[in-house]
Amino acid sequence: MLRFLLRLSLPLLIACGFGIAWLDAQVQERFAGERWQLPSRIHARALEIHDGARIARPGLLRELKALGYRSRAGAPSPGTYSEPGAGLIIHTRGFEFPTGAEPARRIGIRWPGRDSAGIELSGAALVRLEPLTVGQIFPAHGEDRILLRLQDVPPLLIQGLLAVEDRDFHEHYGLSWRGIARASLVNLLAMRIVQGGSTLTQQLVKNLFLSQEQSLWRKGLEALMAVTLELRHGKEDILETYINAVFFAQQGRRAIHGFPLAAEYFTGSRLDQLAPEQIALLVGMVKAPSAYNPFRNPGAALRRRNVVLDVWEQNGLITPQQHAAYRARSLNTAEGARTGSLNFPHWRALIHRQLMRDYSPEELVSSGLRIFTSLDPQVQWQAEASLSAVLDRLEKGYPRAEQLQGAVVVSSVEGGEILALVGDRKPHYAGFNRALDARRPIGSLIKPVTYLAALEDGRRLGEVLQDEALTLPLDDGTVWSPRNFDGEFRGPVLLHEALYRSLNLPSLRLALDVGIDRLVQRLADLGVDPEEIPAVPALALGAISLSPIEVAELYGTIASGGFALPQRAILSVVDARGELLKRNPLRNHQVAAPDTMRLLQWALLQVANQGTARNLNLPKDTILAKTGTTNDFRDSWFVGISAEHVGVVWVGRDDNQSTSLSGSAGAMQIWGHLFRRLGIRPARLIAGGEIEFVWLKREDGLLSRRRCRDVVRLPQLRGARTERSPLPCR
Amino acid sequence: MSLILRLAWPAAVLLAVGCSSPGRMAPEPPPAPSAPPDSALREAPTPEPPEQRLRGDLALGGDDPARGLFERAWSEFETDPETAFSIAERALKISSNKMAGYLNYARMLERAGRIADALQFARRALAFTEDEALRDRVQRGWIDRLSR
Repeated sequence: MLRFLLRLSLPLLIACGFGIAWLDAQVQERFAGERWQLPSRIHARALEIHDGARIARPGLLRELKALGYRSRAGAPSPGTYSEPGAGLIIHTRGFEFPTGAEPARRIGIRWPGRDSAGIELSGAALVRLEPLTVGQIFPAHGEDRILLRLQDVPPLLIQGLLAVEDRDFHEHYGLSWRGIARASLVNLLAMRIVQGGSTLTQQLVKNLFLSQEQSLWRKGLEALMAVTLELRHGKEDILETYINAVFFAQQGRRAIHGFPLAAEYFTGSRLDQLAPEQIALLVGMVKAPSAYNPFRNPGAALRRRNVVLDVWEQNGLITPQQHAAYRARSLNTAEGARTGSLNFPHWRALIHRQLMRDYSPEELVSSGLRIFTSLDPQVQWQAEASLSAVLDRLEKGYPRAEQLQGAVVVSSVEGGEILALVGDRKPHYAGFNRALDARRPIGSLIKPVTYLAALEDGRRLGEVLQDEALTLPLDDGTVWSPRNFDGEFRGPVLLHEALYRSLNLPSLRLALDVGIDRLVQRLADLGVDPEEIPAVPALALGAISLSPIEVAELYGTIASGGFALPQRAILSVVDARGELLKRNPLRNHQVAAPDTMRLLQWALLQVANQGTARNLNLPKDTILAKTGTTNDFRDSWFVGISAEHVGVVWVGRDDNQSTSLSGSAGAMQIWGHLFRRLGIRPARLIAGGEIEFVWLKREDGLLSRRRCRDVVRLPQLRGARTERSPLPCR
Repeated sequence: MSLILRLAWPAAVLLAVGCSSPGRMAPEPPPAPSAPPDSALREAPTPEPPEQRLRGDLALGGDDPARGLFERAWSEFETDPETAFSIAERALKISSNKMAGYLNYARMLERAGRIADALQFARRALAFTEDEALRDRVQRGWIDRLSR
């Protein structure tokens, strides 16, 4: 019998040995190398707050709310704000930026009255608000977490967690016989399962490797793996992993894991900024995250929190006075504080597309990249609202305007940063992204390039062009007879007038003088992909298809005064440890001489002063502007440039049918709606240049005197030869 | 002859480094002492030393929100140029003196040996001022120098 048993035990022992080795391998595989798959996070720009900054109060409040800030009298803790009178007190949370840490600070903001004066800041000289998360790229399982090192976890959380979940943590080797005995006794007395005897290590093993199934087999595996884990890894490593691993809640596809993310999700505050009763709430949730979810079951969550506080007091972690004070407090949660990301699908598409050039899909869903972008949420929200509202209005106002679609791109004049991008009138619909992918003929938006080339050839804004019929033979044997927008011929017109009135015939003549090849070259210099430029005469009237974002790049060069600025959306990428992986710095490259560019900018001011954009009714010399309309009103374009922003708007139909809207009747209305709400600072022309203003006779474009009839005062390059007009002064 | 050439090369480098080393955001140069009118007739006024001109171009006003950031950028520059450029770019955006801001950035690029980029930023700096004297100074002290 004994021999039989011995014979039987040998294979059993070998099998057990293999089994334990397999379990150990499972544990080691998970714990070696990258332990977590971390989603990538896309951040908006961080709002810079300083004296004189032009920050609109409603926009700032909206951003604070989107960041999960709570309104509390006096803004006592990070993540709160208050509105005493006309001012604002903000207690920022602080943030770890790639260039260094921004501490949490309590600041005061006043609006002295005039928009142009900017804000007055007290409490600091310069503050950067933490950036909004505007997108995340998740792994398939949807787990989201923020990793924290154990040394950065508040001591109360560690002590409080162990007091509630595993008092013998530092004594046991994965299994606590004392804990099992205690739980068994309690369960026996209650005649049901009311207490678990699992150690923290067992819970971690269950979370990472096993199912939630209640069976002896699963319990056995759990115990073996827990012991294996304890033998191989230190207590601190296990505790840190537990704190980052534990499940808290499900939000759609997104699973909230770990205390750091749970802190933000449930309270709107960082883990290191939580009040003791908030820590107690999270510790209490570990037992049954769904049953004690404070958003869904606030009563149960409050009772559980108080049980945790009771345990803490019994264990001497808090004094009786603190215990009483914390119990008296409300749950102190902030539902909707951190929804994970804002819904800007078209912006996310732009970022995703650019990221895919440098990173594999696997890296994007698992490496915990943090992507800092230039998105300005305040501009984005307004751009979405303006596009949607004005298209609704246009469809009601114009009988033939229906099924309209549109796109808006706003970028910064100084740095070429894309601040907002809307690719659909339903901004939260992640369908066809017209801002990126709708390549449409740009019509008269091309004309400034022709005029720039002409000015570079020494032509003057005050010289006379002929607005007369023009017929061009084409290569296929047909002839092309372009017409003006209104079908009229004006005879002699001054060059700048032909631009601000957007006259086709004089512009085409000018382009033919300049040379189509040269026009192609200048377009490429200004940022247009040479492969997209057809070298045909019709190019001069906009027979080139560009997307709104490409138009923004072209006009960005004009806005900056002749410096080609690659449009930027991603500013930097850092890895999960905060190490900088990639920076997309500001680049300038001068592609046009300042004086000719200044002349062109001056002419574009006239578009809004007295030309096709005059119905914007802006004060004189406020923006550089250009309208564009294509054949049969299929496309309505507008570009407006203020001191800070280049705004590009396109309106059209997806089936390429007529909208019945010109550039000024359609796209310009959206631009006006948007920028009146954002605020318009008058555009600054590029400084310097050898420019002089002269009085010219309209009729012949030659020098005259101010007091003469029918004269116009125009800038020209200093020393540009001009004869005196032979026409009589009066 | 070859000995002279060998010595001249390090000397030129040392001189160049010596000239450029204090080119951080420094306080405004002290005003040049004004000479009495009669002496001005007898001798040409002493030109402002190039180093002082450089410092003046880089100086931002005390109330410029970008001032502290540029100081930080310069202090990071030797150890971590990428971070320094990031901070400087942030400073550029909020600076109320764009010309000085762009020249600081140009100076950093120059110190990093990126002369072509530095030249572009110096040209951009010029786009922000109408002041003829300043423009002339930036043209000669920066653009012409960097173009050489």
